[in-house]
Amino acid sequence: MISAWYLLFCEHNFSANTTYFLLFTITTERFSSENETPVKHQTRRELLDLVEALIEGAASPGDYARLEELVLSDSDCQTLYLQAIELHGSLYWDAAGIGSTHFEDNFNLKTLAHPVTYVDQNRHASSSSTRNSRNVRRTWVALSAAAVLLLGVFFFNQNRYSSLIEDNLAQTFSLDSPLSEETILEPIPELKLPNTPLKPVEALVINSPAAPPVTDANILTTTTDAAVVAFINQQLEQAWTENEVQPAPTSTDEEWVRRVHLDLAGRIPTQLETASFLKDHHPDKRSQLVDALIDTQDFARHFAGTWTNLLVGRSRNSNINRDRLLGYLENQFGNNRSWRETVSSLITATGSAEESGPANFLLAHLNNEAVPATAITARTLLCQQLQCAQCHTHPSIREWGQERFWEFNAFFQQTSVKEETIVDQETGEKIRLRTLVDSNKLAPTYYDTLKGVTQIAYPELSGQKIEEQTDRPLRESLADLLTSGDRPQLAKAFINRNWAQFFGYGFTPQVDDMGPHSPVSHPQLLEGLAEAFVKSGYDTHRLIKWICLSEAYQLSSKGSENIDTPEDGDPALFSRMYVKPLSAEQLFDSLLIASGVSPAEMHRRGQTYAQREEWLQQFFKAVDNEENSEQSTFDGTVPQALMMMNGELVQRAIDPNSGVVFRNVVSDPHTSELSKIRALSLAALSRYPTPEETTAIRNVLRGLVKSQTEQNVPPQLAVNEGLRDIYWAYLNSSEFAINH
Amino acid sequence: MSKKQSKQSGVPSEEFVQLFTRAQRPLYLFILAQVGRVDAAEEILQETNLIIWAKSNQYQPNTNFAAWIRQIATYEILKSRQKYKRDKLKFSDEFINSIAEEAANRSVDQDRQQAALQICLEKLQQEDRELIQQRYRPGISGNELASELGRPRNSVYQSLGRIRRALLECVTRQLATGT
Repeated sequence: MISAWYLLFCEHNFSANTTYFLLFTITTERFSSENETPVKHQTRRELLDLVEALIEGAASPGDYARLEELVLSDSDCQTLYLQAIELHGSLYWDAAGIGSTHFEDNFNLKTLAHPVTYVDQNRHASSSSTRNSRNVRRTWVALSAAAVLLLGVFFFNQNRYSSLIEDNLAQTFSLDSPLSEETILEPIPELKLPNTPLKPVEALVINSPAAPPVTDANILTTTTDAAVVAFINQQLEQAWTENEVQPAPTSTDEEWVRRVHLDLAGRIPTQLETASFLKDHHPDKRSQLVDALIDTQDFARHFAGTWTNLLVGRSRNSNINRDRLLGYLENQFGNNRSWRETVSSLITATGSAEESGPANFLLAHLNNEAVPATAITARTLLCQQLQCAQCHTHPSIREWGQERFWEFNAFFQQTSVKEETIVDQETGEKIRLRTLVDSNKLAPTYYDTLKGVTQIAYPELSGQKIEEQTDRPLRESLADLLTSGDRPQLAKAFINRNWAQFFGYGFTPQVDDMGPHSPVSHPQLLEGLAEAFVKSGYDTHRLIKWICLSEAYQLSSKGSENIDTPEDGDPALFSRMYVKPLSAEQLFDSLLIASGVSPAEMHRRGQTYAQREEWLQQFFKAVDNEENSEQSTFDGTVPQALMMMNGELVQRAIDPNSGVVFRNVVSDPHTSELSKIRALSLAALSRYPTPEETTAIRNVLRGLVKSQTEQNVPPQLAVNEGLRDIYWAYLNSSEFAINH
Repeated sequence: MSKKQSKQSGVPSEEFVQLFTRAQRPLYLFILAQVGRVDAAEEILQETNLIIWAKSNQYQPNTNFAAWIRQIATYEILKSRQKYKRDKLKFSDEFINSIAEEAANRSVDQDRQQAALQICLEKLQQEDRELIQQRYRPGISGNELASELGRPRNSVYQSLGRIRRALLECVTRQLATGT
């Protein structure tokens, strides 16, 4: 970490010591992760969870195997395992009251006199076995303790002592089999929340601490925005009560305005946007801002970008026209076309990469017998990891057999990519044309089972078969099947993805892995939301609005005393806002905002867009495998992000010639030094500096100015240089690189 | 009492009894790490103790007592595994061997470890401490505790997991920084 900072400063020729100090002041520790164990965080968490299952008798044979795998793979894991199990053992040992610290208190001569009375000869039930074996142990420790005492006190009477011991031994030896019969272990049931009826509210008031009255109203009859938001609140609150979690306080307007801009517009707010929101005293201002932001082109662009990344990845693929897909999605999100329509067109689009935006999805993935198309459709649109079932039966879900993957795959077998080269009549240029076409044959998939037997799979999804041959392309049937029903997986998957996008965590441990093996943290909430979303006609804007108006989305990212820690692998309770790293796109766009580029400029597919594409390409590389995945070197860590950015982008923002924001702040002759510092803080972090920060920054600034003027730099120039350092530090702070 | 006398009479020496008493806890942890279940570990400990006691006259004073009793325990673990070989819920030989070796090499000062645990237990929030105390009451399982508290089992498991993780981190820190 330090070395990363140091590198940054080496590149940047500012007075390293003072700015270093300044950076530290701004980079407050509240966002740092302090867990510095040799075992990777996720592995550590998985291992500890397995130990938990083990010691609570809830581990399956699979858990045992996984635990072994982890422990044997790495000596640090082995140590961690031992530490965890020793902690458990120590608690167990000491709690019996006979650990050496409480030794004398619990020593009882009676134990010695009748040690075997504790031992039941017919031990079968596991709990009584535990109890008895503990007593047996108690006997042993007491026995040895007694022996110590007796050796001292009754030394002269050796015969009596030894015979006593031997009697005890004889009786103890005569015990039956020491272990209970095989214990039948029950699996941990899924967390089930009681189904409480929805609370309706007349008017939606965010942040209202008073709970609305409970009636028997059902979500099915009222899916007004207010009712759905109240339903979300009620469901989450119930889980907080259940888990004894205190929700974090409501976020400040500064926190929230930055958050909602990053989440909805994909960028930080401009100085002006922040300032006007802070000045606004309308009680509904949050709700109004959500509505306003959803209506912007920024919103359409941000969501289209997010989904284009999910559907075809970020890396350039010469087989498709990625921009056409992006443009298509921008229209869909901007005009609030239903999610059902969007998915249908992605699945059923025909035409060439240039003619049809949605066709690019399948054009990208029909290679390798449409295996990528199958896997990616399942993963991105249904949040199901079917690809494991491609080669073998799913490790934990028997019903997800191999055939399930291939039956899904069969839907894509009629479709192929027609490749041709045409000559442009006007320019004479050769153009490669890739077009999606369907044959009208019912084409089954052939695949090899684990035993090497070739099998035939006919198109089938969730038990629904398409057997009769019609003129209708199979893809259309697939689109219908995906969007049929009251609460199809398609809706749940979209909700889970969106929820995770706004909160950092979804309702399942992995957002794109929903299935019988994956417990849903808030099942009632997910069901209710799915129902409301379907009833709304797959209205994406409304779904997003519900999430943004929920009480949980208003909460601060601070507080709640670490009880709700999905970072450690616990199911998220959404009792506070979780800190999310900015995506590469969000970082780029936010830096542009900080340099004063207008949002309108960013919408144009001009020079700025090209720069952004070029900048992004350095992080992402396509991998040609069966899932058409890609590698990313953008991992969102602060040092890395800053290393990457400490070039042109930040320089541009802090250069008065190119950075309009910075120029306007420093060149205003009517504002004080303090106002300038406050303005820079607002521009970069969407908040005013804290009093401590202000003091520290002013001290640093004075130091900088002093050292500069001593070298005969004119005072005004020295102040500007100092402010430049300060803005640089703000933009490189970890707070800038996260959404909190 | 001389050592010779005690050998002759078949009664363990005072030194032996002290070693034996002191070794109980680490021995139990040694077994537990290999079998994973407290009840199974206790049964094996009991069997091991019987052998140790019976063979006390074979122990050479001033040799490594811990290693000697671990050998006996290893044998008892093996016996138990053979007896319950149809049990699916158990570790592989490779795992057991590896853990036994690692556990034998660990040099943990048990007094410090215990003191650290005590400090960390005191640092817990009242409710958490009470929950842990209840969980480790003699003869109770997490499952039984859940039904006793009237809380969903999963929720109790989650709380226990969280508290134990906190304790683990605290103890590790205590041992790393303490004197």
